[in-house]
Amino acid sequence: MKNYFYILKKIILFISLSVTTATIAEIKVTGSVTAADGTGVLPGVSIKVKETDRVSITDYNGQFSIIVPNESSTLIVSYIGMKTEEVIVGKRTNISVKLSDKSMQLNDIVVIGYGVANRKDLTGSLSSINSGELMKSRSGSLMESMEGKLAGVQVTSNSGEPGAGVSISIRGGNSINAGTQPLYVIDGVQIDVNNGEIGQSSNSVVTGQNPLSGLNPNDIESVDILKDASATAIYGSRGANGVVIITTKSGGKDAGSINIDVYAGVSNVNKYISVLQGQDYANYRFARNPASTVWGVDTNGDGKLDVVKDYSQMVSHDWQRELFRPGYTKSVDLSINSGQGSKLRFSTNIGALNQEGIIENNSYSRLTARFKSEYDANQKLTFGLGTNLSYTVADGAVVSNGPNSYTGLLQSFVLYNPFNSFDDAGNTDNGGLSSPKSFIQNAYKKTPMLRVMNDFSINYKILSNLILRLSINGGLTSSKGEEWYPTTTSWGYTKNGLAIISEASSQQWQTSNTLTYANTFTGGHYVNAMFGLEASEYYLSNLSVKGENFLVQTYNPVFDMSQASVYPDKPSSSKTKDARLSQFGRLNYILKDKYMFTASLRRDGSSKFGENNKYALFPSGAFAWKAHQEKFMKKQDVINELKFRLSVGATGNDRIDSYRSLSRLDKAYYSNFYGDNSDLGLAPAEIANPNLKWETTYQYDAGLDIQLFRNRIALTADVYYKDTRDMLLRAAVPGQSGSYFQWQNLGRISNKGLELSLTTTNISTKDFIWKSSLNFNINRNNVESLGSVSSIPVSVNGGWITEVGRVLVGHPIGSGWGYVFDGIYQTSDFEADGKTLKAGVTKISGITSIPGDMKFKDLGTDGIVDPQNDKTVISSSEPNHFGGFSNNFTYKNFDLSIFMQWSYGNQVMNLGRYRLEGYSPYYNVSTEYWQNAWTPTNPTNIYPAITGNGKIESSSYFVEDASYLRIKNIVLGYNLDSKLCKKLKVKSIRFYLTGDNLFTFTKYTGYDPEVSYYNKLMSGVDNISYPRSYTYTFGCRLSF
Amino acid sequence: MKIFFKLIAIVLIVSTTYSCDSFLVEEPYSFPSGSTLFESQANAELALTGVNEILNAQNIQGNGNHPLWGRGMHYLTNLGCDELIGSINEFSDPQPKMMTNYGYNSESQYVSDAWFALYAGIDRANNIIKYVPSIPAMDSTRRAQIISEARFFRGFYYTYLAWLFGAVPIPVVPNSNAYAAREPLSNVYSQIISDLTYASQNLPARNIITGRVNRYTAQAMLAKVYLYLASCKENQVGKDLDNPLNQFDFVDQADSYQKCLTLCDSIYHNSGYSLHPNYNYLFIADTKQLKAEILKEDLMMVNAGSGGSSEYLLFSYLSGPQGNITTNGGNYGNLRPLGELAERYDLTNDTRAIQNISGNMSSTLSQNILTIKYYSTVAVNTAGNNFCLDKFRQSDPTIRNALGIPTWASTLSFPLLRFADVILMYAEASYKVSANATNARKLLLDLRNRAAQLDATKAYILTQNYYRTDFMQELFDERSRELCAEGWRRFDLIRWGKLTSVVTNLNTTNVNSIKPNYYYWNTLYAAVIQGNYAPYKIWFPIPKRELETNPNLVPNSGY
Repeated sequence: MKNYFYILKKIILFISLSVTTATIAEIKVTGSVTAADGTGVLPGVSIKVKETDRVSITDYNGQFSIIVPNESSTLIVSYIGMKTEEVIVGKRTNISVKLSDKSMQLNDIVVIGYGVANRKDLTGSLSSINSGELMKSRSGSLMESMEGKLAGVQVTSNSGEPGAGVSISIRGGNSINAGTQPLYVIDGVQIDVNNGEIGQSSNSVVTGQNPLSGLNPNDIESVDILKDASATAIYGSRGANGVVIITTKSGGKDAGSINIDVYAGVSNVNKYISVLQGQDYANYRFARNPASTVWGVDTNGDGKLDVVKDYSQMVSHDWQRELFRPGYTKSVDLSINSGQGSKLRFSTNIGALNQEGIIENNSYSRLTARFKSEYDANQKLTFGLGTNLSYTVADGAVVSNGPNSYTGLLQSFVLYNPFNSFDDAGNTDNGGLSSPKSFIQNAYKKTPMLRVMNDFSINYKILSNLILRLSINGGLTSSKGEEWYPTTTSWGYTKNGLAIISEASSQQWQTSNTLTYANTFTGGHYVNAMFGLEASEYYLSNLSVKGENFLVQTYNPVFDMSQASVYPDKPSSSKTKDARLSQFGRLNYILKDKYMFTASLRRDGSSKFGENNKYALFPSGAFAWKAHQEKFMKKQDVINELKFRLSVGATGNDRIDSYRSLSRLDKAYYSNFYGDNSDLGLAPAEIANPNLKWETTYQYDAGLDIQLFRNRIALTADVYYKDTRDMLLRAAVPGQSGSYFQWQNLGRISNKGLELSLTTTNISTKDFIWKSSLNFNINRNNVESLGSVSSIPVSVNGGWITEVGRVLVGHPIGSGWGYVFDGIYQTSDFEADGKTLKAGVTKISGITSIPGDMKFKDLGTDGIVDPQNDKTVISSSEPNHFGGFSNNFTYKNFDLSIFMQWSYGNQVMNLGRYRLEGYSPYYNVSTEYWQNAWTPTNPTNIYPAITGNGKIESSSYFVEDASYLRIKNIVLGYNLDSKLCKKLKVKSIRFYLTGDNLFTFTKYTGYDPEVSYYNKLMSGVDNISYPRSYTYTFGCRLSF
Repeated sequence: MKIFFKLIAIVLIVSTTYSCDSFLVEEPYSFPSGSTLFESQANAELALTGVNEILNAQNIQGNGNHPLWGRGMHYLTNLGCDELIGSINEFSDPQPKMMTNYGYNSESQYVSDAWFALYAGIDRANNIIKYVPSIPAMDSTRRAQIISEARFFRGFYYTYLAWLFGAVPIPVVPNSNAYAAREPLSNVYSQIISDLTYASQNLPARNIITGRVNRYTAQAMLAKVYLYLASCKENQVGKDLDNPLNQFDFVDQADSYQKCLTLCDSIYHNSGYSLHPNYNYLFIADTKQLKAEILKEDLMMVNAGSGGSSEYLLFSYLSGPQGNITTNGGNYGNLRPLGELAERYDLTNDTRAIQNISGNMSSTLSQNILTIKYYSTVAVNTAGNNFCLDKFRQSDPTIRNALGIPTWASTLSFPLLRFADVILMYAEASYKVSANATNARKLLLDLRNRAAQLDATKAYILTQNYYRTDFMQELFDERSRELCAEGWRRFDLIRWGKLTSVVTNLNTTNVNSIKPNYYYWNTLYAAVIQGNYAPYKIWFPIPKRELETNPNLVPNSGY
C-alpha cells in the first residue's frame, strides 16, 4: 500500500507543479561540460531545464549558456553514450559538469549465469536485447521479437501460424540426435524447450507449437544470450547450445509507474500461389485424363473424346482468396511497478492477447499474469518472491501438415479442385482431400497450455561483500489437446469421425544456492568468486485416447469419448523423470581495470547417463584485456574502448530422452489366430550402455570490442570454433545383434563462424537522432564423423518424396540428397520408334523414359542413372550469411525504426512443387507450370510434361535459392508532449504504428522463403506451409 | 524469521542429498527393463509371443514399416519372376518400386529392414533358448515346448536369411558377437537343420495356442530346406558367381532328396492336415468364420487382426484386385500379374484360375461367403489394363471400418506353409528319388481334383491339359498354379536354376495377340525387368548399413 501512496503523492506533486510554474526571477547560467575520464571537452551536449522546454547545447568548446527560472531549477545534462546528469543550479551562475561513460549505468549491467556483471568487465561473449527493442515487433511472441536482432543467434519460426514452433540456433547446430535448442533461464529457473509438454496428437503435429510462447514480451526486462564457453560453462551440461537468460521486469526503479499498453492489428496473407481456375482447370484435367468423360466430349461420335468440356459457366473457387482472411489481433497489458526507496519493491503485470490467424477458425490467445517482489527484512536480509502464470490456447484445425503431411489444410487450399464445393471427402476425384472450406468449418482442434513458475529466494549479506543466496523454484505445465475430425473432413472420412485427446503435464523443481564474494584490494585487484550447489528434478507424463466411428456427430465427441464405436489404439500413458545434481564455481579477477581473468568449473550429475558416467566436469577459462586503459591509449580520443577477449571451455548437452542408457523391453503384440484380439509379447530391444555420457562441446572464442568517437561507433566482433565430440548418437549397430540402434557417444560435429555487431550514431543533434545497428553472421557447420556409418538418411513424412536429405561426413547438417536435374528428354533423344534412347543419351535405371520425362545427370560413367551411384548433395539449408540491420530515427517527439533481416545462400527443397506440377492426377497445378510444361510443340528443357516421369524423385529440380531480404518491421512512434501529458495528468503517452513482415525480396516461389521444417536435420524443406502474414498494428502506451 | 529458518532447514536437507548417489538413479516408469524378461513362466510366454510377432511386426524397435509378411517379404519373394510384376511407373515410393524390377541395391530399405527383422527374431529366440532352461519352478512340458518353438523360429528365420542373402553370420547366443563374419552356407544350413530337426521332434502335434506352429510345421519347413539344398546342388546354383561363401558343394544331393521325401511322407500320412475343398477360402480369411476353415490346410500362417494394437498386413501394397480401398476393399494395384501366369491355367475349368486371374474390383457386384460380404471382381477387359492377380481378397470394408481397421490394412491370415505345398514337395522329392513320374503324378491328383471342384470330368480335362512329358516341367507349372503369389516362385526358380532363362524369356509384347490381353503388364514393364536383371541378383545385397557397422561382413559379388 505504501507504494500506491507514493505514486499517488507523485501524481499530486505533478499536478501542483503544473499549477505553480509562475516565473519569479530568471537566472542566466553558463558553464562547460567535460568528460569525466579526463579526455576533454564535450561538444553537442544537450542541456535542458527540468520540467520546462528550455534547451541549450554545448558549443565546439563544450561551453553553454541557458536561462533558468530560479535557483531551485535543475539542469538535465545528457549526451549520447554518457550517463545523464542532473544538476541543481542553486546560487551558481557558472557550472562545470563532468559526464562519465554510460557503461556505468544500470542498464549496462548484464545478467550472466548466477550473477550479474558490468558489460565492460565481461570476458565472455554475449548478446543482449532490452525491453525497448523487444517491444518494437508486435508479433506477440518473444522469440520472434528477437529474430534477426542478435549476433550469432538464428531464430526461425516454423511457419506463419500464430503460436507456431520456433527454433533458435546459437552459433550453429551441435547435435544430431540430442536437442539443439538453447537452455532458457527465466529469472533463475532453468527450462529446456520440450515439445512433449504440449498435448498434441501425432495426427496433426508435424509443425508443432512453441512451448515457450506463453512468455509475454511485455513482461521482459532483458534477454541476455550467452554464447561462448566462458559464459555458458557455468551451466555445464546444459550449456552447449547456448543459454538464453530472460529477466522479467522488477520494481524499485525511478518513481514507480502504472502502465497500460493496448494495441490492435490486422494481418493479411503475403502471397498467393497462382493455380488454375475455371476453364483452364478443365483444360488441364482433360489433358491429364483424356479418357475421362467428366472432362472431355466426343463430338464426332468415333468413341474417342476429342474436345474438352465447356466449364466456363461453372462456379470456380479460388480457395486461397476465399479462405484466407484478414486476422485481427488485440492485446491489452496492465502493469504496476513500485518506485524507489521502499523496503518492498514489486512489479506486476496482467496481459491478454488474442491473435487471429489468416484462416478462419484459427486463433491463438494468451493470458499472462506475473508478480515479482522483493522485500528487505533488514539491511542484511532480502526475500524475493515471483510467480508467473501463462495460459495459451491454440485454436483451429489449422495445420500445414496432415497425418501424412500432404493432406493438410494448407495443401488443400492450392490443390483442391476449384469446381468442387461439396463436402464429399471420399470422392476419389478429390485425391484424398476434403473441401478446405468443409475442413475449416467442421474440424475442431484446441491445444491449451498452462504454465506456472514460482520462485522464492533469500539473499543474506553475511558480510558486506559476502552474499549467500538460497533459492528454490518450481514449475508445472499442463496441456490437454482436443481434436475432432468429423466425417466431412479428409481425416475423418474413412473413419466415420476421429476424435483424439492428448494430455501432457510436467512438474519440476530446482534449488540453486550460491555464495558470492566480491572485493577490491589495494593495488587494483578486484576479485569476484562464486560457489554454488544445485539440484533439480523434472517429471513429464502423457496420456492419450483416440476414438473412431462416431454414430452421432451432432455434437463434439471429444467431450464424450465413450460414444466412439471403436478405439483403434489402446489408451496410452507414460511418465519419465530426470534428476540433476551439480556443484559449480567461478572466479573472476581484474587487475588494474585492465587485465581480466575468469575461470569456472562445474561438476554435473545427470540421471540420464549410464551408471559409469553419471558425473562430468565442465571447465572454462577466459582472458580479456582492456587496451584502452593502457597509458599509450590515453593520448588519443578516437578509440575510447578497445578490448580483446579470449576464451576456451567445455560445455555439455544431455538433451536426450530419459532412460536411454538402460536396456528396454518392447511390447510386441501378436494377433491371436482369430484376429479379434492381440496377445502381449515382450522383446528385448535396445542394448544398455552403462557408459553413456554427455556430448561435449569444446568452444574457442576470440573477440574484440571497440568503440570509437565517444561511443558513436561500437563494434563487437567474435570468431569462434566449436568442436562437439562424443556426440549423443542413436548409433546404428549391426542388425545381427538384434538391436538396430544403441545410444552411444560417437561422432563429431564442428561449427566455426564469425559474428559482427556494429552500432553507430550517425546523426545526433538537438532534435534529430539517427542510430543504426547491424549484425552479420557466418556459421559453417561440418559433420566430422558419424562413428559407425558414413551417412544417416534423413526422411520426411509425405508419402511421395521421402528421403530428402542425408547427414553426411564432410557436409553440413541440412544437406539435401538426390539426383541432379539435367533438363527434359526431348523427341530428338530417341530413335525413330520414339521409345529407344539414342546411344550416348543418359538412361534412367528402372523406367522406360519417353519424351517429356525429367532427365538426371549420370555422375558415374555407365550412362545409367541409378539411386546408389548418382545421388549427391543437392542443397544446403545453411545460409552463407545472415543478419539484421536496423535504423532508428528520432525527431522531436517522433521516432521511426526500420528493421531489415536477411539470409543469403541457403536453399530450400520446395517439395510443394511436385504436387503443384501434376504428380497426382487429381490435384490442381500452378499456372506457371501449366503454361510452360513440356509438350511436343513446346520442347522446353525446364518443366517436364504433365505426366512426365521423375517428379517424385528427390532431385535438384526442387531446390530453390531461399535467400531473402525482408523488411521485417517498421515502427513509427509519437510521444505526446510532456506539457500535454501533464495536463492530461499522465506521465507519458506513446502512440505507435507498426508494420511487420512488410516486404520480402526473394526469388523463392513458395509462400515464404523463411522455412524451418520440423526435422532439424533437414530444415530446408517446404511442403506448402502456413504462410507468414504482413501485419499492421496500432497501439498506445500510457504511463501514470 | 521462522519461515526463514525453516527454509534454511529445507535447503540443508536437500543439500544432504548431494552426497547421495541414489538421487541420480533412474527409475523407468513406463517400460520393463531388460533384466526382468525371464523371471517367470508367464514372462517366457510373453517372450515367445515376441518371437512370433516378428512375422508380422509393424516395426521393430521403431524401425521399418511392415518389414516381413506385413508387406516387405512379399516384395522380396514374389517379384522379378514370371508371376507378378510391379506397375512400375505408378509407384509413388521408390523403395517398393526398386524391389519390383531388380533395381534394388545395398541401400534398399526393404532389404535392410528384412535383414534386421529376421535377426531381431533370431535374437528373441536366442534369449529364450538361453534363459528359459533356468527359469525356476516352471512346468517342464511347457518349458520344452517353448524352447522347441523358439528353436523352430530360429531355424525358420535363418532359413529366410540364407535364402535371401546366402551366407550370413549365425549368432546363437544373445549379445554374443555383433561383429561376427558371414559363415559359409554349409555352417548356416547345419545350424538350420539342427534347429528345425529339434523342433520337428519336440514340438507337439498341435500347438496349445491355436494357429501357432507345431511338429508338422517344423517337418514341412525342414523338408523345404532339404528340397532347396538338393535342387541347388543339382542345378549348380551360384556356381558361376564369384561368391565363395554361397556355394552348395557341401550338399549330399541324394540324401537331401531322400530326407525331404521321408518328411513329406510323414506329414502326408500322419499330420491330420488335408486339402480344404474350397481353394478360395484359403486366401480371403480375414474374418473369424473363414479363419477357422484354413486351419484344416495351413501348417503355418501369419496372424493379423484388430485386437487393438494394429497387427495388420499392409494389404493395399500387395497383390490383389485393384480397387477403392475405402469402398470395395480393393488395393492400389501396385503388383500385377504377367501373361505367363494366365497362360499356365486352363481358364475355364480350373477354379484356381477363377479365383486368381481376373479384372479389378467391382463396386457393385458382391457375394456372400459364409455370410460375410465380399465384393467381386469384374472380368479382364480386352485391353488387359484392369488385369489383376486376385488371389488374396478382403471382405467389405465397411465391416472393417466399423472395427476401426484402417483402410490400407487387412486382417487376412496369410498362409506360409500349406498342405498343398507339402504334396507338391512330396511329388518333387518322390520323382527325384525314384524317377517314377507316374507315382509322382498321382500325388498331384488331389490338387487337380480340388481345382476341378471335385468334378471328375473337369479333373480329367485338367490332367490332360496340364500334362507335360517332362514331369519336372509339369511340376514347375503346377507349383505356380497352386502357390502363385504365396512367396515361393522366386526361390523355386532360383533352386531350379531357371531364373535367368525365365526372366530373359518374359514376353515383352502380346505375341499371339490373345484377347483379353493378358500381356498388358508385360508390354509395359517386362523390358525394364530384363534390363536390370543380372544373374548375381539371385542373392540380395548385404545392406550397406550392415557392411558399415560390421566391417567383418563382405558384400555379395556384383553389388
